[in-house]
Amino acid sequence: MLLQVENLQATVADKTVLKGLTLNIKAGEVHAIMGPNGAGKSSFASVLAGREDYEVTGGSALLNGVDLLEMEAEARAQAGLFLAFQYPVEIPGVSNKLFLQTALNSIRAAQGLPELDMFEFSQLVQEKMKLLGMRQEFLERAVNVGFSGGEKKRNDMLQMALLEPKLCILDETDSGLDIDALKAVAQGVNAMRSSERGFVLVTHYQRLLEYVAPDVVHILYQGRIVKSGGMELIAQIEELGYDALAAAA
Amino acid sequence: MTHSQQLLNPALQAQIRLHELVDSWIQQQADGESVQACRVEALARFAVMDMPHVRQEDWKYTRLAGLWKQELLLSSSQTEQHLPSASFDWHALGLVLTFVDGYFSARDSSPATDFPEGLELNPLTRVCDNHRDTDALHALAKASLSGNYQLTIKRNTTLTQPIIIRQIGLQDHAMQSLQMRVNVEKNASATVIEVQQGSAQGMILTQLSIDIADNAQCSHLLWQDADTTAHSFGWRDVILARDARFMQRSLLVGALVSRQQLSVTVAGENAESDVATGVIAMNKQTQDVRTHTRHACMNARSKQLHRFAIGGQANGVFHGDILVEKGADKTDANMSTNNLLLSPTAQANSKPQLEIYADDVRCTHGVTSGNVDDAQIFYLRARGIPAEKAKLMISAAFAQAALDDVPVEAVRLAWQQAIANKLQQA
Repeated sequence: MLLQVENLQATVADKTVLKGLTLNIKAGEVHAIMGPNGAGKSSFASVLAGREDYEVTGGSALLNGVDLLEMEAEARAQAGLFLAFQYPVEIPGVSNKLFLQTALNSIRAAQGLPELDMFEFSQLVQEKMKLLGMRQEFLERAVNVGFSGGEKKRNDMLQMALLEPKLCILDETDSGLDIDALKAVAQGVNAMRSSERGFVLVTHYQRLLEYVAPDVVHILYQGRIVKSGGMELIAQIEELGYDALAAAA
Repeated sequence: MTHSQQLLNPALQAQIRLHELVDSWIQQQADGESVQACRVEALARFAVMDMPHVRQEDWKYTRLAGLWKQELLLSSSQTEQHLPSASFDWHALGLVLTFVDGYFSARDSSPATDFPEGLELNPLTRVCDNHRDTDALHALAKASLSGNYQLTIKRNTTLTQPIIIRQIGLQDHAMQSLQMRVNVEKNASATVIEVQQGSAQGMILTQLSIDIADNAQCSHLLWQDADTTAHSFGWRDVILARDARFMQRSLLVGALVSRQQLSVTVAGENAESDVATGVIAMNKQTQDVRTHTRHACMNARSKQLHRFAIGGQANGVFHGDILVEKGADKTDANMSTNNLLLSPTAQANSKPQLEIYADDVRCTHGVTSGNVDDAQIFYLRARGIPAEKAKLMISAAFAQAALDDVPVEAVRLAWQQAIANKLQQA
């Protein structure tokens, strides 16, 4: 099992946000987690990624059998977890190039691989950018500073392509995106789908799922997964709404 | 020390000791009568001035208690000691003027034959100036002056190589004082790089004046990298004539206490002054930056950016005032100071001031202080970058943002490295 989450409970600012969440993901699968506002979708992504303002009060989360919850945020990333942010952060003065190279080399170092020098890194990043249809100037700009919403998400996709994580969590990556940017995100995900990698698409809307077909759809409601199924669940959500589906579950 | 001196406070005791030290040093000097007279006059002023003290508004945040305990010495002549090998090859970069423990070192400087046409270096035979002393240390700097030169960049000369002025302290406890006047004549252009190094437990005093004539340009780079037990005090005056351009970029990382004062007079129409400072203060350092910008003419511009990254128990002090005189209409002046506090015990004291007597001007100032943003740190950590490294990257970028456009590439890169090295001490 790639990701094994068992009865996960967590609080943020004394508010309980996860109330016993259980979820299993096999390598090669794409899971969509849908739910209304405040259901705990972003909290789940944050807890897995190791955001410090969240406190885990119970349960477990294993990535390839390794306890994620014991690890620092950077160690989780080094172990192959990737969080695409709902709101990618701007970092003035740090060039995208330096950021990407440092990130990649930190992860390589943790895996016992030699660091890539400037030349090797440049070659690799150029390739990935070409695949994502990104321009060279992207590298010279400060991380996310002055980027449009779409550019920020593309930047996250570039990071994902470069770092080649084992499990990618996209936290409402589709919110506020125009159709072109949405397609770019979908293209990024589809290009990286493989039998060794898993995806969790946390989303509010079904728009993204029109472009990335999930294997499993879950409904997260009041801090728990209350229903799981296939694509047919999306139609039910459209028809009945979350409250009714949760009540019937 | 007599019994009565023991009863005095440390600043007064230091004043007496420094007076004795400089007085006997002056008597050993064999310079011309007018030079000696100026030193004696300055020393007499020093003797009656109040020593800086935290009770004075100007020194409220900059404590000199450590300096008063320092046993300083003044070399009576040039040292025989060789310089340690430098980490940076200044000679490959430009024309080098090296001062060691206060004295010009021909051995460590570019030979006069390397000077291109249009550049002159002359010793000044008079050291007096009509400027008032800003404080007792300023008078002391004039009294103990051993290096005193004038650089002239002749009319229509564009210097392709920078001029590098190095002030190096080799001997521990040594005090040194340098005065350099730079005249950039009409339509001329030059880059002057000032570097301070060494001086363990010593004191570096620097007076620099730059006169930029009509349509002339001067870039000034200051790298204050003195030993972290040293004290460094600088007084720099710049005057800009019509259409003149002044650019200053400073990296201040060294010394235990450093106070660098810059006074810019924008005296000609369409002149422009552009000043940016990157400061890294760590451990128990105090980095004090003071600017005074005087707009005395219409249609001129000045801008300033000062960035302080402060860690440990260090103290970042900024005082900047902009004076727009009557008639200096259409002045466009702005000043921005940003403090990044890297530890809970770091301190920032920033005080901007505007004084405007003209109509129709655009003047702004702003100060921000904050910690490294947790959201930024988390973003980097979520990409596998360890927390310490993430903090370093963000704080280095913060300071570097003020120094991204340093016009000498080798210096820009050396400064990037120096910033990273310094921050690693955090």
